[in-house]
Amino acid sequence: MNSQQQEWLALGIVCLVAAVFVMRWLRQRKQGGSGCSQCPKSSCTSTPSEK
Amino acid sequence: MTPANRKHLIATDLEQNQQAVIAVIGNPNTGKSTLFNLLTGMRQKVANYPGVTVEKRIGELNIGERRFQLIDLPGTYSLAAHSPDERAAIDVLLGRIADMPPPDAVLVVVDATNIKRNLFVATEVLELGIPVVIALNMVDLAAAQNIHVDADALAARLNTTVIATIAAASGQNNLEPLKEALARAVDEEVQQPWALIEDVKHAAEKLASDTTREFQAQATDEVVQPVAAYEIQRALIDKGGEAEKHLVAEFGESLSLRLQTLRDQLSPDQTLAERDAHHRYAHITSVLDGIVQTPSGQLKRSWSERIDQFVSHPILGSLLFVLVMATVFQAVFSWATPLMDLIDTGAGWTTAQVYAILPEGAIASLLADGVVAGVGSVIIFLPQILILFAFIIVLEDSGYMARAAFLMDRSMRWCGLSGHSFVPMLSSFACAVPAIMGTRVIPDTRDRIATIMAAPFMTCSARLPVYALLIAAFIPPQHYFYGLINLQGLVLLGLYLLGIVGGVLTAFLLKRTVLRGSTPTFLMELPPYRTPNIKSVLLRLMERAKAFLVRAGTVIFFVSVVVWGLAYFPRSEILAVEFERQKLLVESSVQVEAEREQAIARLENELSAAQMEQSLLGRMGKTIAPLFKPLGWDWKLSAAVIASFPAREVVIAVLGTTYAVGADVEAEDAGLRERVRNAAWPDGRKVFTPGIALGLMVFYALCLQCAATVAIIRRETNSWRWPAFAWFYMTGLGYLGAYACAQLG
Repeated sequence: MNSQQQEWLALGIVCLVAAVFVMRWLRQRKQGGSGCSQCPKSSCTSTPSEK
Repeated sequence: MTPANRKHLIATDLEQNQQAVIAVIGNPNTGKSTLFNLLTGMRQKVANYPGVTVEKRIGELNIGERRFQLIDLPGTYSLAAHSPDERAAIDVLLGRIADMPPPDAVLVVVDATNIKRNLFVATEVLELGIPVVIALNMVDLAAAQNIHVDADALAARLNTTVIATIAAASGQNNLEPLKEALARAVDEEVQQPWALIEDVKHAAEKLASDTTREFQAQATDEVVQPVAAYEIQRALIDKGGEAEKHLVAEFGESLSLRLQTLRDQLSPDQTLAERDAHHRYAHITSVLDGIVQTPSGQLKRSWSERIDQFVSHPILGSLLFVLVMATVFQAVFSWATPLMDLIDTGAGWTTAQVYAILPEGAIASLLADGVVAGVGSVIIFLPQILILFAFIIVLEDSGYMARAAFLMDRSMRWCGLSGHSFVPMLSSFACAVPAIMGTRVIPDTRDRIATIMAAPFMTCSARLPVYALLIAAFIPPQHYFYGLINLQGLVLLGLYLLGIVGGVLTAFLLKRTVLRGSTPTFLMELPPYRTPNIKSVLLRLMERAKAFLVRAGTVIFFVSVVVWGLAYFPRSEILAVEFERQKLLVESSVQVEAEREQAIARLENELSAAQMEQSLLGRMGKTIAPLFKPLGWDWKLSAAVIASFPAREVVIAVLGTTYAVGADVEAEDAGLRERVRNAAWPDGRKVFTPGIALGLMVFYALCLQCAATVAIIRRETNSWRWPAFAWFYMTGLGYLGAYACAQLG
């Protein structure tokens, strides 16, 4: 892999990581969480208000 | 929900092999959480109750083939809710929590050394009709005080199961009788709710039925949930409490008037709360008559009380407190070093492996300079955080922290806070996020917000590497008083004090302006001293470690990768070609191998710096540089500071890249220190004068550069107003502080 191919791959990884993080954050927001990631996701069951 | 319905639900649950729910309730300091931890082990998860910031701790209990869900409710002295925590406890018992069935049984943990007061909440739970098992805990401490309780007789009189336990010393085997009792309780028939004061219960039932009917008549097109009679009963007894607030919010002010009218009718001579307490204590006294042996005559002072003579003494206790805290901080910094060095070595080894395995280029740089350097620079603080939390947990479990809060109450009152704020403020020295979550124990909302605003000023672990780098670079290692006082140490102490003063003054100003109000009396029970249960301490520590590592693996990983991307792209072909040309020139002109390698390394660093300058981060840095010009910062420093707003520790990695050091950009790296020290403007002037270096430290001491803290303030205050205020206020203070320092030259 030459340096230019490496750069494209690295750029792709950066964009992918950013997209995954933003989507994860948005999903957490949609579920009513604050968007913070202090607790393990599997443990976070907080919802915006009592149904 | 009627008992019949509940029984149907239980039957359905059991048929479907779903987990039955057992709620665990009890007074604070009864060993409730220790017992919960022992029953559930690592099978726990923590979340919030819907709509409120009260922690919900759920665990799984296995008894033979059957699995149960255990819910650890917040500690409470009665079912009279006066805080969101107590409100959540009642909501769970009444089955009012969304997605959570009402409990099939309740485990009430009772302190055998203080059985009369502990049975207050137990008798209230018994009135609900839900099967109850009472864990008569701390029977060993009771026996040491010559208090003996006949558990079987108590069970017979309360018509429930009572099991003697010693949570602090229990192994799994000792808990078998309790587990069996819980399994039996879940299958028990549910009784009709009853009440010690029958007329209050009847009045509450009538008002609940009337209110439901009236609302059903108004809401023609929807089905109104029946009002819980027990909630009305609580609202009647606990005037102004959470139950009344909740009902009034739901059904309007007219309900408040009807409640008051009923109170006047039911108890004209005394408050209903007083009447309830008199009846309840009379009932408890009759229950305990003849089955509790207490020491007669002059009570010999317990060893706990004897220790308290010294520990809670205003002067001796304060001195001991300073000594304990000094030991804690000393341990945090000295004991952690070997482990931190180990992690540092691990990160360095990983970086070397990445460069050894992968060909030179963007991918190797992304992994080594982005992921390993970024995540590694945060994980390195795990030992410090665990040591601090180990101390805090042991001090809490031993009963010392309650004394410390009691001692600090007077000092905290000066700035308008009470002893409740002490533990969250102390936790902030590790991380503001759990500290802000810890403010949930503060019952007064104004006090809680003032504490939340003050907590982020305390020097958290993430500030440490920034201080370490800047102090090592700009403060000479001079010693005074025969080497006893080190100037670098003094500056570090000064930065810690600056954070404390900033937090205290903020609380002081807020409590005298927008959060004005009387400081509530700080009432707390001093629990007896006890040996912490090692298993329970380790479980809590592992919980902390897990949360920290998850954060490092998510937020920090993301920030590291994105900042690397911003600092790396776009690449300039012209610069790369020029570098190759100069490299060839060096290779052909420098004959000595060592000198040649040194020259090429210098060229690589210069290329890295030049690429960085035209990268997105470099361009952004140059754009925002005018904003920081009054502080005397160049664009590289401005870019690093901006990049570190999501997490302040990121500044180390960004400074390393901007000052073109290469792979190893740890704070302790002499290369980075030298580069920062020698950084110069194009005209040759030094970027970091003593005033500007000090200003940068002050900026990091005061500024709110932590996205997680902003998010948690938003979550805990349920508004964007306070996090926005905290961010602008702290950033403004940091800016002004740095500006003032820059004027020193």
